[in-house]
Amino acid sequence: MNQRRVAITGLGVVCPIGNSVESMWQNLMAGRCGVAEIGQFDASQFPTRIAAEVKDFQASYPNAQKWQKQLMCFTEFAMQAAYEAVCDANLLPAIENPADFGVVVGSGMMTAEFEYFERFQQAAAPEGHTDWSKLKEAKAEFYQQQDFLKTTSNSGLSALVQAFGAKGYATAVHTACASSGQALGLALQAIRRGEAKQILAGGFDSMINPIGLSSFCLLGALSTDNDDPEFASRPFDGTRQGFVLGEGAAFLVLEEWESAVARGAKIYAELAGEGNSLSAYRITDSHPNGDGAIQAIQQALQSAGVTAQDIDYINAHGTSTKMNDLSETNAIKAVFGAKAHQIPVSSTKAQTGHLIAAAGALEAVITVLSIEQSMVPMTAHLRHPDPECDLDYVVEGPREKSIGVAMSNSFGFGGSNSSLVFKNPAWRKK
Amino acid sequence: MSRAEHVYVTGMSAISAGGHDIEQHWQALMQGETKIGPSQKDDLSTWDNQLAGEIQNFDWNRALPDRKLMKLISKQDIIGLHAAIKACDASGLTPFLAQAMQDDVSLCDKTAVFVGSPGNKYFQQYDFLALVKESNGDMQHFAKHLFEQVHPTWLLRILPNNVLAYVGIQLGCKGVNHNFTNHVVGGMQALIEAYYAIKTGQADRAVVVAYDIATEPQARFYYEQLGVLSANKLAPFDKSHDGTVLAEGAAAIVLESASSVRLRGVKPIAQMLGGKSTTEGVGICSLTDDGKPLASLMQQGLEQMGLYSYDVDMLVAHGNGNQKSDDSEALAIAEVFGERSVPVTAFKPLMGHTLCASGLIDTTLAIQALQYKHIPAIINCKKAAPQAEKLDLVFSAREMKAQLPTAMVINRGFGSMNAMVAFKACEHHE
Repeated sequence: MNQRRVAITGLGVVCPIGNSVESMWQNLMAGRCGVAEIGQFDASQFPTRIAAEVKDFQASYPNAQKWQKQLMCFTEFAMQAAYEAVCDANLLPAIENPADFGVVVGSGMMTAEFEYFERFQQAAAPEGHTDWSKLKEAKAEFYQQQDFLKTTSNSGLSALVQAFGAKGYATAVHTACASSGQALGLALQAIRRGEAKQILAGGFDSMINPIGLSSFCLLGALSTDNDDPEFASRPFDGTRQGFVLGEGAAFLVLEEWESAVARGAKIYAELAGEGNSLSAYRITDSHPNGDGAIQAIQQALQSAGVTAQDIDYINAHGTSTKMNDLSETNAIKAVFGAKAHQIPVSSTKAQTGHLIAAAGALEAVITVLSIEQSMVPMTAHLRHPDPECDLDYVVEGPREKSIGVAMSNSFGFGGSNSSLVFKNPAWRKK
Repeated sequence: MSRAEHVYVTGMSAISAGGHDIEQHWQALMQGETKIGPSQKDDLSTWDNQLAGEIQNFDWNRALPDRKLMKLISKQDIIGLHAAIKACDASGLTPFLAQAMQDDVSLCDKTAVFVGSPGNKYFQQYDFLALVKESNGDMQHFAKHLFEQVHPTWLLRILPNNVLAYVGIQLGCKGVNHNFTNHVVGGMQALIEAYYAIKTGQADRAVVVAYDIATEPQARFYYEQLGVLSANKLAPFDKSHDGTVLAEGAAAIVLESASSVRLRGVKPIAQMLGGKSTTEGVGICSLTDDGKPLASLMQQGLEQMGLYSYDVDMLVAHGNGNQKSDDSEALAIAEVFGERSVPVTAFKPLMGHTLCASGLIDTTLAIQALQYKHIPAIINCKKAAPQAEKLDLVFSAREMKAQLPTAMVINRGFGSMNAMVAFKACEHHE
């Protein structure tokens, strides 16, 4: 099938180990970890009181002061990361063909910030349950239009579209932790079919707030290694006991290959294929044998026109939960067979935490940089091997390696799976 | 890159204030009824405007075959899943997939799920209201009493991708999937992407569903402050149009490739010709007054589908009753189709504006109209608003003369998003 190729021409990141692509990569390679005691609110009495928070964030995107009033905090991360990506792609000061420029985002699930929820409670639920007559009475003090603009489901998408001048394809998706992996896959399909020539694609999220933290504490899904935060996220380790919440945003500029070449853009890598499947198993658990993930990985290889033998590196979903890491390991074994043990597999969530809806996009950026820099990131904190997780998880530290083709996986609550394949621009099929 | 195969509709369903199934909606439409009335579900007795489109006389206890599941998900998820199951039942897909799970799971792997999800709603956080009140800003108190006050599986009740996940789990769909959270147009975008997933061979068939409970008081409070709600009636394109009415509902459509139709031996209801969606890029609550971006979208959509404007026998307008939206839509239609050259109808006066579900509900009723070869009148539209005077508004129901008529459906939403799809009647499959 002769289809349009998709180049990656811009990258942008705001995450717990750096608020730019360069700082993130340096800290990742240096083995620095973004997990620490939560600083945004008093979490001292929660079962989990650690997270990977964005640190020292300063907005420098255009008209940041104006936008700040209309945006939730994690949407600001999105604006900053997107700005870095479009600058990196050399698309500013203005998008040349707005009708050919699209935006696709995987956005988080938090409805509103806690401060807003407290104000709402005082106005409309002073007794702890909603009383709509009270809301009417409190209208003058409570109503602020920007509250609604911040909390509408596509407010982040809308801000990105407006700020960067898109007039083409635009959408937002949410499939929990697979959100931004699927957003990139959707953007790839849109460019392939000629819907857009350039798409700003990525994700943004933060669930580090009292309700978000509560929701995962209630489920018992988070690591409770509060006294040893730097080692709390340890994907594939035999003693792993839950993931660590992260926050942030990551964006990539995807571009029709010929268009990127014609304007002389720097091409980091090719987004060559995507796999997308539904496990249809359980709402929280992945299938222990890797079913669902297996189909996504196989589809991604097929979509990219490569075989299992071609893969040089896998950036794993690797959440540090018992079931995910086992399931993903088994999926990799099922697809790659004997080759599975020869492929470096690493989870960077050990250092970044789990950015939920933004995780796939951040890890896509990391995978692209791995190709560009010929460096495989390590799986940090893996000290006690799990006999059932027995792949080459790159435990010794970042590894120099020329990478022709790499894969990045994201699997979400609800069973949505995303697998992306990236090619080095210099790679040729043997 | 598209395969030559046509894409067909083989099953559909709808539930809203307009009825519990499509036939009930159709009967009410043809009789010119409106099911909008004062809200019965929320105590809005002190509010000036209580109009809503609420599902009436529905046995929620029997909404799903799996009654235990109803305790694990929210009401809006229930109607979404209800609609999906009904459409699959209508298409015969339910027993087909059950059999496939036993005999040939690859058929499940090629069955996609595309969802238009409203994302998270304000009401989903209300389980925390009592705790927030008691805590009064003391996060240590909040954390200490969290497990007494909030159900451990709260997060699983509010996942924005619950309907997607449970369509997979309940019906055995394991293929490509996306969950669009792009406000109103999310449902229509789900339909468009499902179409392309089939055209490009990613899937052989797809369950498309969209749902929303847009009547929640906290959101309607904001819509009212924005001045977009009518306290009188929903009257698209009528000179008295003064706003929309929020509503609840869901709809689902089963799409299949021609090969899948042949494989399953089912009779298609209609052929999907394509669809397109773009943003105007002018802000979250804004749109372009002259309708030019919408006109451009329709023109591009027609060209993509190989249609001329005169090929369209019925245009189902978004027609939400909001003056600014109606006027710009009327200008766009006139620009693309010329003066009084296509019959224009709108269905929202029957059931209200179901936001994310509205595109799919309108589409199911458009397909019903193609089957009956009748164009329902626009309820509440007696004399055209000035901007709509150039349109051939359907003031009383009329027949479609074409043997196999074609319909276009328009959908618009926050984020200055526009979407359109087109369908053609079919008598028999290939």
